[in-house]
Amino acid sequence: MWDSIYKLTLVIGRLIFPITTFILIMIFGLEIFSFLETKATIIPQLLWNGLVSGALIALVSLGLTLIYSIAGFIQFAHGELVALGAYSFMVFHKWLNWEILPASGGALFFVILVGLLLEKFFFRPVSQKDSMIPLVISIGLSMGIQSIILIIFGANILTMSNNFSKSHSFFNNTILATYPQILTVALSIFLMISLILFLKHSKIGKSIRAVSSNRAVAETFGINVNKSLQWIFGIGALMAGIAGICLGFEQNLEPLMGVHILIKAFAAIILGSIGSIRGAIFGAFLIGVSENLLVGLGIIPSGFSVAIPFIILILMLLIKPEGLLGKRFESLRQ
Amino acid sequence: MIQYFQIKNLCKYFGGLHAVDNLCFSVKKNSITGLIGPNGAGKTTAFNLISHFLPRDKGDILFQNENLKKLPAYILVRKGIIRTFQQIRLFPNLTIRENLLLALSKNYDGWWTSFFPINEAKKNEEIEISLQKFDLEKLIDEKAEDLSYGQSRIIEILQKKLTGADFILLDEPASGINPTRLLEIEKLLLELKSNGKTILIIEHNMNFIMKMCDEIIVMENGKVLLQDTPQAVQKNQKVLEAYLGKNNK
Amino acid sequence: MFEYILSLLTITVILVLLAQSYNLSFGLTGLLNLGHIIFYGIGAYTAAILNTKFGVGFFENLILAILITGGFATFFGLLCLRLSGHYLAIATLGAAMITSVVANNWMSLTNGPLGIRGIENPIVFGYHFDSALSIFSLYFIIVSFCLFLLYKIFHSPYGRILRAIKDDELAAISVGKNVFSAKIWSLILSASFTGIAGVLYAHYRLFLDPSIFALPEIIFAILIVVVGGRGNFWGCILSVLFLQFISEIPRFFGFPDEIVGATRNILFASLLIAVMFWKPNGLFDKQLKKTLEKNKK
Repeated sequence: MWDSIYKLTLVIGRLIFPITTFILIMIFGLEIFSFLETKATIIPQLLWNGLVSGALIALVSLGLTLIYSIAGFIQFAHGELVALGAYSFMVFHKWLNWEILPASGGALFFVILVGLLLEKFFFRPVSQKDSMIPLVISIGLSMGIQSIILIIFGANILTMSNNFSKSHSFFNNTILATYPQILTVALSIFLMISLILFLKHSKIGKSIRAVSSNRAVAETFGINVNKSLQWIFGIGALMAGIAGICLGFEQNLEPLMGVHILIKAFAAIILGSIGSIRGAIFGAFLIGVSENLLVGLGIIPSGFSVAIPFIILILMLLIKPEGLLGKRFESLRQ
Repeated sequence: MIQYFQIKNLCKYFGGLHAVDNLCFSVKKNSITGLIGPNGAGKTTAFNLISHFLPRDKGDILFQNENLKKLPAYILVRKGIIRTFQQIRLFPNLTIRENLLLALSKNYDGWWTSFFPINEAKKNEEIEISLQKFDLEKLIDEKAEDLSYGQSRIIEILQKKLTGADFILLDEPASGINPTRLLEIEKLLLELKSNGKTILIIEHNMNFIMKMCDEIIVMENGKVLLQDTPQAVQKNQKVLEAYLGKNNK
Repeated sequence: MFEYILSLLTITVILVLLAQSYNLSFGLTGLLNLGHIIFYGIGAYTAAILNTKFGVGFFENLILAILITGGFATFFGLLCLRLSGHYLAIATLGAAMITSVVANNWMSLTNGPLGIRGIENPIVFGYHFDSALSIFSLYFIIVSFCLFLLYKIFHSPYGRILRAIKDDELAAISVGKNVFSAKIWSLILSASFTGIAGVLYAHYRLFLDPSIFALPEIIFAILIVVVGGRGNFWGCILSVLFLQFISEIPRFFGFPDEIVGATRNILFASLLIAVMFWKPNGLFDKQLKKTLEKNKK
């Protein structure tokens, strides 16, 4: 008799928390569902906006995470490459009146050149030292490039909008999208897939992966570390430049635009655990979509939108410090 | 009988690899015990588990009648178990004096003590005496990164000694050391033993092990193969097989 | 001219305290904490809000700011110090962004981007410090006292542990140091001193807006510590003086106002990069003297 009661309490004790959680989820779920129903008409639009901004963040964060995994530091000046891409495209396209394709070609050429020069003159000489040093240097570079942009173009907000960036409605007016937005998403997905294939199958991609897993061993096997560093900075700059051009159609040009997207990309790469490519893509889309949903549905006031990635990030650090897709790290590093 | 130090059924798995698998052995008080075995036998992992630098999956570690639960690694040092690493881990940008003072100031180093006058003369004296035995007192204000390998190895063992720990784990103290330095290390270890300390050594240098140890534990594939005196281990057929492979008699 | 020099000196004195307290966590312990400026801002906002809304005096503000920034630092440390190196840098930068956003948008508390006006000058024991000279002397005394305490911390056994942690965390654990607690305390101490600097700033400027959290301020703080040498007590003070001198240069060349800020930033950025390139231990390195002496022999 008592024995069975004892067993029953054990069972209840084990089940009580799952049951309460389930009830809470049901209550909140119904609440959320009814809330979403009232806003159902704008949700597709918000999802699309989230997808676009996720694609942009992904382009930036892929470069960041690759540079981290090869060179071992976080490149704070990476956001400035985005800004340079946008501004140089504007110079070619609006001031010199080039067509879109040659203008973007010119802008990308310029950005890649800057990326390679940064690598050659600022990061390679200190690549063997304490990783704090390139990090601080990149912070300085970021501020320097920002100020140069400010001096040349002024603090005034410039726009790039023209006929090409008019919005069109799709799917019975549920979604408004512009051609640059569609192009952004398509390009971003194309670049992600080709990047993964490049790293997996090409000879240079293989040597890049070798360097990232163990630099010293890769060097003894005759892999040219400097060459893979160059490739990584070039690829990163290319993606940042494309992100910059696309971002220029999305929003106004201002000297701080690079920093703003860089900060979201930071949050994205940590969310998906630093150094992992799948993680960076996942984190980028998570942040893009959740930011647009939270602000668009009026859950968080739009003034706080800058903080959203970091609120997500800090919540995650509380729950799972090693990143959503990361492996558990051990306390020992020998 | 309750041993001074004992581990029971210690396990650690890395994925499918059983790095340490049901490891059981005990160490007698005031002895020098060697832990040997082929590469990959799980010796260093066992050290990491004992010093709580890695969380164990299963098993008990008993030290001086106390069952050590899952503790932060620094607590273990305060309880009296201290370890070295395979590579030398001194503080490269601190001077030798500071390296050794760090070991001496045990628990009295919270920030609030900063505002009271500190009298480190006595500690400095202790450090100088212990350095004089190895002719290193001239180097006392040099940075640790400027020392030679052998010198830093001795400084490292001295540092561990100065913490006052009772049970000292040394991970390959003799590897890469020239013969004269090796004699000094042997002297140091014997001195530690005569001071009542207990020492556990991982080492590949067989001459050193056979000379120094009172007892030897042989590990293979994460398990204890044999625990016996050096003479018995030298003659044992199973140990030879473990080192040289079974077909290579 | 005298007034101008005095105001420059007062700001310099506040900056010395800010930089030296940052030097404790970033320089000595090696915590790559990019969000340190939030403690400065929180200290300043504490003083501004309490003073304008509740009429709390200068000294009470100092004590409250120490408590509040210390509390924030504890929370911040428990959250972020589980991370190491670059993770820490990003998480702390994020925390700075969040605080900045809160300061800009919580209108009822901080009055948003319009800022808080009408903070009083310090009043201590009934004496009104409203002339430039008296404020400077008061601040000089307070900052000297704080620097004395910081000097004690830097050169104590505790400071030695912090330097050991910067060198090799694992080795510090292996000689029985509670690394996590030492790090958190270094953050809390450094935050409290920064909070004091913030209070001084608010009671001197008499006006406060969210630009105190801006990115260039963070970089300026990093620059001071890096130029002075990470963990170098006297070098840090020298470096504040040096940088204050440099930052006044563009003003004398008569650049237009819009560009002064940008040129100064470029100057600072190139200085930061140059120091990191050629003198990663700072311009005022103790080791430098020693090597020179060695070469002579």
